[in-house]
Amino acid sequence: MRRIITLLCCAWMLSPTLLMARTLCVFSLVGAHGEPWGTMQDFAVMSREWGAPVSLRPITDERIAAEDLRAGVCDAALISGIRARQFNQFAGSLDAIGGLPDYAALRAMTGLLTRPELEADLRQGPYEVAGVLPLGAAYIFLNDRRINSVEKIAGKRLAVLEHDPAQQMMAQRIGAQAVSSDVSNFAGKFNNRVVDVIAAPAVAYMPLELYRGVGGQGVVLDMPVAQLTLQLVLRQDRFPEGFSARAREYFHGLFDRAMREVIAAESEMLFFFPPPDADQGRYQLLLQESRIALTEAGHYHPKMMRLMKRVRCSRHPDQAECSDDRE
Amino acid sequence: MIASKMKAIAMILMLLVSMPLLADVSRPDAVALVQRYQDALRTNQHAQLREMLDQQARVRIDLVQGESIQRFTLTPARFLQQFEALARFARERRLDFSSPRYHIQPQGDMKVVFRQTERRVLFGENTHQQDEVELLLARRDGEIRIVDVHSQSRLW
Repeated sequence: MRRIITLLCCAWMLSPTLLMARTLCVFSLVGAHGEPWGTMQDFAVMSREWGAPVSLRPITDERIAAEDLRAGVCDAALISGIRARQFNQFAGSLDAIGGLPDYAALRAMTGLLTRPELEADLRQGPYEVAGVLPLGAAYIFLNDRRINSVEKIAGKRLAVLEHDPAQQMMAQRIGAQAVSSDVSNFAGKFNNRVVDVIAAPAVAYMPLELYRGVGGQGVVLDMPVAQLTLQLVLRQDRFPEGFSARAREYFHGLFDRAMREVIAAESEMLFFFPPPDADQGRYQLLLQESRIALTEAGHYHPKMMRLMKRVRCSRHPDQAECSDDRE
Repeated sequence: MIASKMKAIAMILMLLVSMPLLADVSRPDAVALVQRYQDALRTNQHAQLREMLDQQARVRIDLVQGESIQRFTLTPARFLQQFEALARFARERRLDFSSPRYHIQPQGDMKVVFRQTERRVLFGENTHQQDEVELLLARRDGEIRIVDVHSQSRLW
């Protein structure tokens, strides 16, 4: 009897830690292995050290991860920046079309997000963005090299993420036929020729076998359409004060590690060419005009767009946009 | 008058005769480099290709598709990356090269022109590529390197 009481006492003493363990839902197409799962396992160790233990839960359907965060089933969720936009429009606009031209600019931008003066912008309602990881640039994948100009994309079937109105608007602007998709089925649609055009990061190339969709006749345009990210969104009331700031620093410190994987994935892509010389300007103009229109339509956060312009212009001050005040 | 004309002609002749000697890139050096380049392509020796291509090289591909030609300008890194990616995906590759032609350039560089034909199986299909290749060889930091690549390419 005494032994049972002792065991019960021990269990009672341990329970606060267990009860306090928060659920961190990790969106990962491949489940509990590979990346970003490995990164989040390391983060779980750090969280425990910071006095806020988390228990990781892999979720292969991103929509469910977002819904479970909203429902409070998950106390935090690692989801794509595009999906995270519904929880925080400011940080979610990092993945804006034509927002950042290269990885150095993205690195500078994620560094800015660790500054205390932007902390308030990273909070929206009960949610806070507590970390950003680069997923790599989104590139345009075409199943036919003859679609070799902006004009020729018109009328072609383009997969757009159903939860991203910005992509739907972009498709409309270029006259493409938008085919509503999600992260779990866009690759299948491309590989089975249900759609002609997709936008995807290089890290999806081998795992989702996108080379099958490109085949011997297609091309991947070496021109970043957007910088995709994974973002850790958490419910503020479930984490101690100061946790998010620490986490943001931690994730920013992982930038180069995450980029190594992105660069390795990009080195595997076949028929990975820049747009034709004659079309470079038109593609850049399309991205700029789309970005401005999407901001005006309320899809992107104006302050984030201004910050990104500042980053772009600090790196390339000779660009025409740096002498106008459209953003 | 006649003597000075003779002198001028003699100087021109001497210049013409001595051009290969004055060239930064001699023909034997160019022949050796082109041979190494083609061997490296055949055997997928990408590190060797990287050594031969100048880091600042200009790479232009004119892709011929039916009636239209589109020009793509690639960075040397992207150009090399494509060879590596192709080696990963292609099966039963067979590369053939026409006899290279060598042209000494006025500044002492060497232009090399040849045709490169490749047959391969890509994603289960027999595919072909034909490139009319122009390489410009020049001396950089004492080494002969490829400083310009221009290829007119057809894929089918």
